[in-house]
Amino acid sequence: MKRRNWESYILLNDAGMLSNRKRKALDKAFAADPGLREYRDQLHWTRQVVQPGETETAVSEFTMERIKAEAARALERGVPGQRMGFKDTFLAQWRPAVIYAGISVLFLLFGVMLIFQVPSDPSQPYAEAPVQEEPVLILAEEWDWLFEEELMELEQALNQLHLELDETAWLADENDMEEWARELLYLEGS
Amino acid sequence: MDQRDKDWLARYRHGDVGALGEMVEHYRRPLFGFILKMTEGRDEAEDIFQEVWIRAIRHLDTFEERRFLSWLFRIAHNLIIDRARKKKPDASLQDTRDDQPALEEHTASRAPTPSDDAEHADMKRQIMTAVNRLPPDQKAVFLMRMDGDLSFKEIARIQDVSINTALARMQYALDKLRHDLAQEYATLSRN
Repeated sequence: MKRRNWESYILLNDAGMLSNRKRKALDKAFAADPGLREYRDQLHWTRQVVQPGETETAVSEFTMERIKAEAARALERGVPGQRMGFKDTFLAQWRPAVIYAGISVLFLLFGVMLIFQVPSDPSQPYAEAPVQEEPVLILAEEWDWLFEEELMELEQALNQLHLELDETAWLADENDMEEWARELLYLEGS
Repeated sequence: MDQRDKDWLARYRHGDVGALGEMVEHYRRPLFGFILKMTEGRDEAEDIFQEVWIRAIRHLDTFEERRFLSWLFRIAHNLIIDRARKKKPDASLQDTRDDQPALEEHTASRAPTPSDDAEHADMKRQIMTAVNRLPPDQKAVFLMRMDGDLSFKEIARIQDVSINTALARMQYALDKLRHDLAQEYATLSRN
């Protein structure tokens, strides 16, 4: 491999971006090539020298205070958020809608369950509730036997009564007419 | 996202401004170091540093990268480019490096730490001078890698290029530094 590539490996290794396999290869290259070791040592030495000292990077108290003041103002304006994931964003924005939809679905299910019975075997499809035919038939028989006969008797009784009433009324009418005739004759003087 | 970042952000969202202060302090060194080396002076660097955090706070809801520091570097990188364009609308970042007194001055004027000796400080000055001569894209990759310890994947995303391009820019940057600092590197090798 070219020396340039080994230098790349040294830089990547220094940044912790080299795979184990390539690191082992680099170690072998170090053992074989003192120039590569020198490159590595110079890199480390340069870093030590270049890195800023504590005093060198001291920031004025004024600047620090202004940053903290801005941080406090940002808190007063409202807690600076963090980017929420899709799930959090969805729930935050659509929570009421989700709740209402959930309630609606529950009502709908309740309604459906009222109309259709849920079969005991979940694998079976929903079906209309079976019609209880036998009790209805019994009731019909009871109706026929008990009430129909009584009704017929009642009807006959009513007819009988009606006939008797008509007859009485007719007799009453005839008597009244004779009475009225006699009254008229008397009034006419005959 | 890093668990520590998650904790800080969670505490901040629950009203603890101090948690954000801890975060700013934690990332100050790599972030401000990068901005300082990419700009023209400490005042401008502080302006950009502040702007980076204000934008980050205002747009926390858009944060979706794996590492918070990577996101901060991306904001900083964009702000630095914007500022460079405003200064010279027809110019790229490249033009700012010739009139950039920043790095050597920052380095020279900083207070020495107990671990620093004169030789080390001198070496650093020479390296920084060489770094400032790099083309801006290479310089940005070099500093993001060295100061921010960003991976080439993160750097590629910030610069909107392929990983190979980011890697190549780093290689070119190191080639130039090794060429410019051949004597220093040779001294190092002897030691």
